[in-house]
Amino acid sequence: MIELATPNTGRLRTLAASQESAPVSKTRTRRRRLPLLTIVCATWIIGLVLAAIFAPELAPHDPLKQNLMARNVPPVWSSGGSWDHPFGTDQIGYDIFSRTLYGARPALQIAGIAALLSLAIGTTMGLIAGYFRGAADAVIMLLVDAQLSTPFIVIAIAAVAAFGRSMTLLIILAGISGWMGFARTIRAQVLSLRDREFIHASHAIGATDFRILLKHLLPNLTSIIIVLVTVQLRGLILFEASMSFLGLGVPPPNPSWGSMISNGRDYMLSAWWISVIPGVALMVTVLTASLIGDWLRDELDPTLRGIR
Amino acid sequence: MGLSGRTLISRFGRALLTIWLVVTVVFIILRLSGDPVRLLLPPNAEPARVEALRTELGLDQSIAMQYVRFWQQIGRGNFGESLRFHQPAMDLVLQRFPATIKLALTAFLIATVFGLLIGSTAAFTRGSAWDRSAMATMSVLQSAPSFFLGIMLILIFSVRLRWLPTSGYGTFEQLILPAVTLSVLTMASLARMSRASLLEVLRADYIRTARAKGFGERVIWVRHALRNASLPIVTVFGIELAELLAGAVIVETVFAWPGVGRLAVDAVSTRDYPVVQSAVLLIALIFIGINFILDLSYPLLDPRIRHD
Repeated sequence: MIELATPNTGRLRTLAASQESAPVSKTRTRRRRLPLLTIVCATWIIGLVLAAIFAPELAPHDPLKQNLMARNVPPVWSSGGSWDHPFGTDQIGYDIFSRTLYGARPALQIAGIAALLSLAIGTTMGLIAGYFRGAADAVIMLLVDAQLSTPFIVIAIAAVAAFGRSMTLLIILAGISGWMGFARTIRAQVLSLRDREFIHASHAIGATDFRILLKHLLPNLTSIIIVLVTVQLRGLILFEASMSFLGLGVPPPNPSWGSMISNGRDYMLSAWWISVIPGVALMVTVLTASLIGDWLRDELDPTLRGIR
Repeated sequence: MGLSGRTLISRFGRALLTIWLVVTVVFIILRLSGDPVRLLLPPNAEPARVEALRTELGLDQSIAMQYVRFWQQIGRGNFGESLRFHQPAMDLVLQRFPATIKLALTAFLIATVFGLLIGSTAAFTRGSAWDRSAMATMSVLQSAPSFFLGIMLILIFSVRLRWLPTSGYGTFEQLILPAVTLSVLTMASLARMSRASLLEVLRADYIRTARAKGFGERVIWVRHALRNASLPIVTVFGIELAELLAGAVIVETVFAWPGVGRLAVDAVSTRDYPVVQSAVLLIALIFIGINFILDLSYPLLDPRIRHD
């Protein structure tokens, strides 16, 4: 619905996206209690953040230490498993539990920093496009459309091929992958705000454009920005995992869920746990991140329904 | 009805611009990597060949000249020679292309049939147990990373049940798991979208009118509701098909499917940059092409949309 205010391209994806939602009343008279699902999701995310921070204290083994005496040990609940390796070990004796804990680090680091990066790029672009209109608007929306009609993963593959894999590159790529969502939504919001009386009033008393953007428009966008960041996290976690799965992400031997899943692929017959355990961690994280995003969106700004 | 010449030109212009941007980004990546010759020639290339390539790329000249040279090479269809296979890189990519198309189209077919079936039956039985459980499942599936989903399918259908092969290319059995894996995300989003679209349409005035005129429910559903609800769904077809193409990069790696995506990912690890570059350009070009054709088809589907 918000996105229908985007006039320039007539892209139907926005129309289609908006039709996914039913009209929702914006005013909320009573505060509802937190839904159970949200509490569960928030617990998982908080637990994950703690696990990432305190991984050295929590992990029973060094995630980079191979133990050739204990290869392909099954998890504790299977026959042959032991509490020494609660989630078992892989084909070269890495402890899966420790590595899954440490694997939360790149996932959260990359998603977090990249979300801020795409927030910075996207918000700046959206503010400029919506406030100044004209040529700047046209160019920015053209870039948005161009990136939306290009498969970003192949550009990322080319970049990794040229520069070699590194955390820095991964963060930059993830950051660039998602700025368009911010730009479009912020632009549409600015378009609807710029003709409001308080903006006209600021113009009248001689405020500069910069001041209006920073002091009057940006504060009005806070809740949308929070929602957008949360909604983005899901995609960014998936991006890191996908790149690591393809062998183009977190450099080895550092653990990442994506590369752990990829590593276990060849041992599905004999040792399914090598990929299934980090896979479950990844899937639950992605699911909780998207559920929290949806919940936050509905709470803070129901008009944003349907935004991805 | 029909397309005005102006719209056609502007859409075409936008597609060309996107292609230009992609090629430029690929050029920038190549240049930023330091020495392009290092990427484009094997490490043990004889000095004469290195010199020849330097002159050909115009590395002794200005960046602008190099950019022009880059375009000239692409114009001549020269995308470099594979360092590993010693044949023109684009030929290699094109050889792998049918496999990718086969996978993407099969997945698209599965996604469309099941997505629309689930979505419309859910809308038809709105609020029922089927509706709610189907939609909850679709939400979960939308959060499932395709590579993990693929591995779970391998675990269930290949390792445990032994119904289908784990990987490979050629037989129909080998196509099933990759195609299903690739289709899931699209199926989930088509199901949700078609349900939302149908529910939206059913609220429209003309449906009430049709009811008032005494049409039977079946006529209303088939002739009034489904037909009108199909537009927003058809408009996402192109985006979905394009996404499938990008998703194939990952699914091909999971199932050792010999397509363009796997070729590109393998080429990164063997440092075969010309192949990566050719694959990136081809995938991007097709992606943009699909979007362009879809853009053109909207006005034919819905006469109300004619101008930007």
